Amino acid sequence: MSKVLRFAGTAMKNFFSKPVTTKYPFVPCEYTPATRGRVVIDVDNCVLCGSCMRHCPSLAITVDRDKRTWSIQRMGCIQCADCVNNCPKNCLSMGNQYFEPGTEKVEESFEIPAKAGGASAGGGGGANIPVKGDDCVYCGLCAKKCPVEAITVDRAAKSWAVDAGACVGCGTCVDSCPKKCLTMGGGEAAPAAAASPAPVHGDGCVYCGACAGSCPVAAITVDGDAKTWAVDAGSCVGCGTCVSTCPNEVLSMGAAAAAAAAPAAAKAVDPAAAAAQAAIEADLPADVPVQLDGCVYCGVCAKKCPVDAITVDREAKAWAVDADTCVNCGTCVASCPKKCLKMND
Amino acid sequence: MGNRSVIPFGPQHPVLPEPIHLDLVIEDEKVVQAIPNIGFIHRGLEKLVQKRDFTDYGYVVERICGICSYIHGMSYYEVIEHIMGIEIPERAKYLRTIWSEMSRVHSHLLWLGLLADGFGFEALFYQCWRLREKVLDMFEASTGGRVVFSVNTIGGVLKDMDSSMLKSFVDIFQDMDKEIHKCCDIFLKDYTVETRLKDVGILTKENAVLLGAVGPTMRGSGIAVDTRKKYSYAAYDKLDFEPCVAYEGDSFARCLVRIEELYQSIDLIRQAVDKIPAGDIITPYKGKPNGEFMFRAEQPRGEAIYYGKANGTNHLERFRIRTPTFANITPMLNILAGAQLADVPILVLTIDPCISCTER
Amino acid sequence: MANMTFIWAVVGVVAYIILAPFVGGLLAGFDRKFTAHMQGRKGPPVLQPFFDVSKLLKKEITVVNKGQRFLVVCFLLFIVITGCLFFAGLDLLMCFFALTTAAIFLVLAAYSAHSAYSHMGAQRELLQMLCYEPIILLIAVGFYVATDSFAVTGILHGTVSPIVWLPLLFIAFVMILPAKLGKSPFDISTSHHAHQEIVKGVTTELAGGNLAMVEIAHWYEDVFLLGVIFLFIANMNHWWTIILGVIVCLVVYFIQTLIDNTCARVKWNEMLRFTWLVAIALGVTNVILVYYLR
Repeated sequence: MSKVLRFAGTAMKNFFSKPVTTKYPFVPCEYTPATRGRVVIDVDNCVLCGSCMRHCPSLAITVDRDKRTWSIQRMGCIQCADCVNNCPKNCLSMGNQYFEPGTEKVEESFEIPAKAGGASAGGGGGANIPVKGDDCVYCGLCAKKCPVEAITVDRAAKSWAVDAGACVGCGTCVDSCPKKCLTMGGGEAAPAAAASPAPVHGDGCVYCGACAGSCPVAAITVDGDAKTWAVDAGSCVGCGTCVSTCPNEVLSMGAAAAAAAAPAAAKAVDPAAAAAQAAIEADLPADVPVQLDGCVYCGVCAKKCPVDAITVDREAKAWAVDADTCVNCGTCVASCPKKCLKMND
Repeated sequence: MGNRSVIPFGPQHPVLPEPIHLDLVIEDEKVVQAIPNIGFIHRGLEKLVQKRDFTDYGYVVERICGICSYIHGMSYYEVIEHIMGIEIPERAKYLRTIWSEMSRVHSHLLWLGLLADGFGFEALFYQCWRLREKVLDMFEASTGGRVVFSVNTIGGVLKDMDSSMLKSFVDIFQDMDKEIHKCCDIFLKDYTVETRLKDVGILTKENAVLLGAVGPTMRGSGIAVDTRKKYSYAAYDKLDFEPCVAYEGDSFARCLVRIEELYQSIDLIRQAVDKIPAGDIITPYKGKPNGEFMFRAEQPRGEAIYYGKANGTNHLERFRIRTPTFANITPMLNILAGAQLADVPILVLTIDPCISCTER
Repeated sequence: MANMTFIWAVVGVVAYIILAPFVGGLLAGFDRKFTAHMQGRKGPPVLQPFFDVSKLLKKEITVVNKGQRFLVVCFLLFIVITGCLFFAGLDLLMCFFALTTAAIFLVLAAYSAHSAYSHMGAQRELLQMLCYEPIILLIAVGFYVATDSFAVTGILHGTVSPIVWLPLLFIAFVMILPAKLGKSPFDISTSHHAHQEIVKGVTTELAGGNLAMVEIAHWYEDVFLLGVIFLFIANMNHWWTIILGVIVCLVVYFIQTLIDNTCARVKWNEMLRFTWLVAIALGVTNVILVYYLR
């Protein structure tokens, strides 16, 4: 064989054959069934749990629980299918058509319809934490499948518990139970009183109103003076934010809470009789928070302080700030449900 | 003592596949010294480990580079699996091996094309990449992506290739065999190509050891070490192969090593498809990793070292990769000294530079 | 009779000046189309070179220095003069000298820019000239020895087609033609693809209108070079050689495209070695043989 022009054979063969290139995009491209083209959502099954948003490596997905929308930045999506693999309701899938290229960044938003009626036959729309029936064999499958690890099962001790604060109400446990012994909400066995989706008000409430402030749908009303606490069961979406916000862990979701708990355990709480207000203000250095009238010693400011500069003692009705540690960020002022703090200037 | 001038080579240069800057000190047409400058494509991907959960960080590791993507991703998950003590099923090991070897085939075909382009033979460049298209189509059919596969996970793989798909792949490789031989033949036998590759950029065996060359760069100088053989991982201990080696140390030798590895990879795929057992493809796991592990893999460019450190939380503390190109840059500078200017692209390409991997 | 010759000369010059860019551009377009098909692609439309040049002419003028434009204009001018001299039927040796002068202007234009790549391209262009100039001169000598005339008209009206006497010289010319056309294996100073170590070599620092002029000059040059090929074949006493000449021109052009797609670019020392040992050897042998046989 010759040592020069060895490629001539292939070149001439190519010359007389059809070109291998296609006239994409005028000729559409053929994808395989497995192609990871774009993320597709089945809006009917989505529960807005936000797992996809938390997992997305390129932060392309936004789940807005208030507005009930699921949005994806199409140009930011890297088609890795991490969201698809982690969706507890399997409502996401990979379609095999790539999103069309364009000159602008596109964000697609989908409305997630509210669920009508809910899972249980009981009234009020079904509670959003699972309830265990009698057939449970403590196999622990529900605990394994729970995407937020809210269920604890002990086979030996025959115990089953759900952390209402962590539960996002996705219902994966219900679907995964081999004995079909879990239901969302009250079910048949639960007392009617607890069939509401709303949080239940237990002992120890100081009417600080933190729950009302944190409720995304403004379903809770708290009156600190009148010592009343009420929830509008119709508006409540059962997200459980109030439960996790309450500094005294007074609230719980659904039937697991003591339904018989007296709603208005009106503890005699003196409002902050922090009488020597001006004296305190004058003594404190500038740029630290100052306590005004109305403090109920709920302790939210102490909890929220990023440097742990505030100490609150509810029993002793004491409130103090360590001026050296305080970094003047104002988080306490913003977090006080009674708006009884301000920065000293 | 001729006239010395400094030619800036890169980062934007039509012949370079990826951005690297070399200040070439030349005397007439001879390069006296090459001074490198890297960092143009540093994206801070190792820092991102602090912001992404260990379950999601695998997708970041995969996207460090487009050519070496699969083995990066696989090695990340291997590190996590070793830290957590997870044993992946046999079938998953074989699948990972098959995808790794297919990845090597596509990478070497890509490199052959770039080398042809480097010495001005565009038609051969397109011919090699035409063959590579078939491999990319196989990737798309089996994993869903042509370049980045996202098919590994902690405990195994996410997608299975059933026996009919595996058989069809082996058949495609069989059909491609004649075409690949014709292409590689040009590299090895054509006269004009020979003048560009033979006796160009000789890396002696002593220098290869002294300067820490890895991969085909090292094997082209006579050192027969292959990480797949030395530190066996996935299913390589069950496959039959020997490291490909050549002894002249010039660009032709390195080209020959890669061509032989190309044929060897196709043979390894055939072996793996014959031996793959039935079974699960994923082992479930629970918990968070706590501990550290170092893993070595044989990328198409050489040995890559992966180190992961976890502390029981959702985020890894550290994930460090020592890429093969980083190790090969010093030998490259060594062979550039004394080369002709016309050989510079060939010599830069002969180490198969993957600057994206190097700089992350 | 002298009048007829003069009229033909004028017709030739005018036809060349007006038609050569179109013919050259079409040839370039077909070259790209053939290259694409050899590589398994569809390639751009055949009129693409015209679109490219019109785009270049519309671009904003950014000259590296004012001298560059003058040098490029001179380059174009001398190429046109080369062709005009040829198609007017005048002295072949003069044509080749004009061609060389044009090339020198291009080299000067490349040197005038303060760019390392441009200078390297210029150096290599000079080296290329060292490789192909001997052949070019040998062709003129060969034609004289074969037909006793340096003038194109004289050669055309010889007794027999020059190729009968000069086959080896013809082959040598076809071998070094890639250097003039900017094709592999001899495209060391500039090529149509920028994928070489000196980026675009001689034309690196040319843009906009300057580059358009260089493109058009290359079209004129291509027509002239094919004219030389035609001169080997055609003979006015046998009318059928004219058609054969045109066909051979097109075939040679196609072969150049094929060679471009089947060779790697060689280094300057290899090019020097090949042209001096092979091509010039063939040419010198041919000329000496003809000298003694006639």
